[in-house]
Amino acid sequence: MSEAKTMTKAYDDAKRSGREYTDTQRLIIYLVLTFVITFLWFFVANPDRSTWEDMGTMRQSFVALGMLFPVICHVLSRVITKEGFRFDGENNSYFGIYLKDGKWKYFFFACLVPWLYMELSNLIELAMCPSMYDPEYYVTLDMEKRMLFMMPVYAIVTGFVGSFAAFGEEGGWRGYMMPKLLKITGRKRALIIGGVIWGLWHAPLTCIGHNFGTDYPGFPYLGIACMCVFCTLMGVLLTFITEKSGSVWPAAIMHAVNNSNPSILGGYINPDNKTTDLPIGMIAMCIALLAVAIPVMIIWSRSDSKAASEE
Amino acid sequence: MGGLLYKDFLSINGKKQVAVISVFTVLLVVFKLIVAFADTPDAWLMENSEGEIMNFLDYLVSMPAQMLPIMFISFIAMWIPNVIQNDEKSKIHAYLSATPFSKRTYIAEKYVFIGICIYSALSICVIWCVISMAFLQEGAVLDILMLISSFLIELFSLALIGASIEFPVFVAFGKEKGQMIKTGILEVLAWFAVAFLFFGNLDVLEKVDFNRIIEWAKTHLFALMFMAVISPLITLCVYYISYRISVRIYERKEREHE
Repeated sequence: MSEAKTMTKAYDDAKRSGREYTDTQRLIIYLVLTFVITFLWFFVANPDRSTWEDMGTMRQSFVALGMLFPVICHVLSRVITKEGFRFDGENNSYFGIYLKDGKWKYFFFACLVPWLYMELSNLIELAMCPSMYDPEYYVTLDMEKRMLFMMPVYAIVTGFVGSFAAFGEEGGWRGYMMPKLLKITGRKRALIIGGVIWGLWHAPLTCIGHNFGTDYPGFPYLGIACMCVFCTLMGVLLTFITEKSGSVWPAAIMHAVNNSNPSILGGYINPDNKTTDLPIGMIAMCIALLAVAIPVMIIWSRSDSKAASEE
Repeated sequence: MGGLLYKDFLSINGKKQVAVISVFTVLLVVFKLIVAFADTPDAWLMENSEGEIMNFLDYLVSMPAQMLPIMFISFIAMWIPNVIQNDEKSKIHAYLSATPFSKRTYIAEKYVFIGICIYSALSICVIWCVISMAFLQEGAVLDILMLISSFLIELFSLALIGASIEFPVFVAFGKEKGQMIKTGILEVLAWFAVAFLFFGNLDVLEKVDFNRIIEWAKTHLFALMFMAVISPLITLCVYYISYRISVRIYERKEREHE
């Protein structure tokens, strides 16, 4: 065991005086903190209840700083419950970066997979509503054609550089909530419960029109439900790479690349030409994510049974 | 490597700095929200050089975001000799020989540490720019902040390139000699600047027009996008080459030492 590990363990043991918390208690403390502080932020940062569209990009970015609270609450929960900050082993904080033993390949996975499922989602969306195809749509987005073709690389690079915002979410959800849930409930339940919690956490934003707008049947409940489904599917991929790489950073990069919208086809899809009220963008995205999540689940189960048989 | 990183974090007073930055960020947010949603007294409204009416408090809140990138880059440049000096003081050679760390790991840790510092500084600058830009009316201040935020990646890429040059110098010559070389180079540059002010054509400076730069940035989006893609890639290559050079220098020095 390295010196750093021994020191961290000694520090943890010394700190662990007084009350011992169970994983369930720690998880509840974390969830209460995250939901209360973030919902308070969404309330304070938008006191006049503007919709997402009316805010303008500057204020949207300001409100979106709420993304940083899950990781802040992760740190707070560890301090409150005297859990310490380990970089590996039991109660891992998953903040470290590991590239050895083939773990570097999860960084590649994190960069490329969002591009794949985005384009797949766009193809499905076009198949569902061909009238949305608009060969000149990117012009209305103030983009040149060459910019559009550079978009995936741009999204990957900016995703890497600006991954701190996504780290804010992933550091909390994948770095604290999911390991605890996986321990308490097992994988399948943890992925579903974790996805629903993550989706509900987005509810204040969904209620002001983030992701789906405000003009759809069943607003905002259908949007919140869609967000839970999306987060569950996305959570499968993010939890997989976090567990396999032992770090939240690949998940943070994947989340950031996903948020940067690494798509070429997106420049040819005009949402104004939509002929249905259904949120087909989200439906298409869920189908695309499902197409990626199923093979990932199979690979995950196989690698687990292989590891178990080796032991 | 975690232990070495933590040692360097403590050597730059990391805990205190994190606390100061966190408190300042919270204060900035609170101040921004008060300015944005409270009624502004007329005394706080002022006209800037562009003839725009603006809230003086809002302008004040945007100041840190305008100055912070340069401040952070200067701080990081100061930390490089510090992390090496601390090792010289604490007899790192004896310490390393008692641990399983290789020379390569030791040098890699220095590069990773400064890389993390630069990444964190970039992230904080982005957060402060976002806070400062929120609720601002369109005008010169917003334009300047947008210009700064669009060049942040390039600015911090330059900081990383600066670190790539400094590291081999400090590894080769140690803190004192390295600092002398660095100061010497900076002094020569300063003398050139002074000489330019005395004997150069100052019309060039008068012709610098920030509005033109802002307009250029608005109309050359592809060039900005290309720079944003290419500059981190080039910088990382330079940083890696610098690491390899530093490892060679360090190994040679260690052989001579033995």
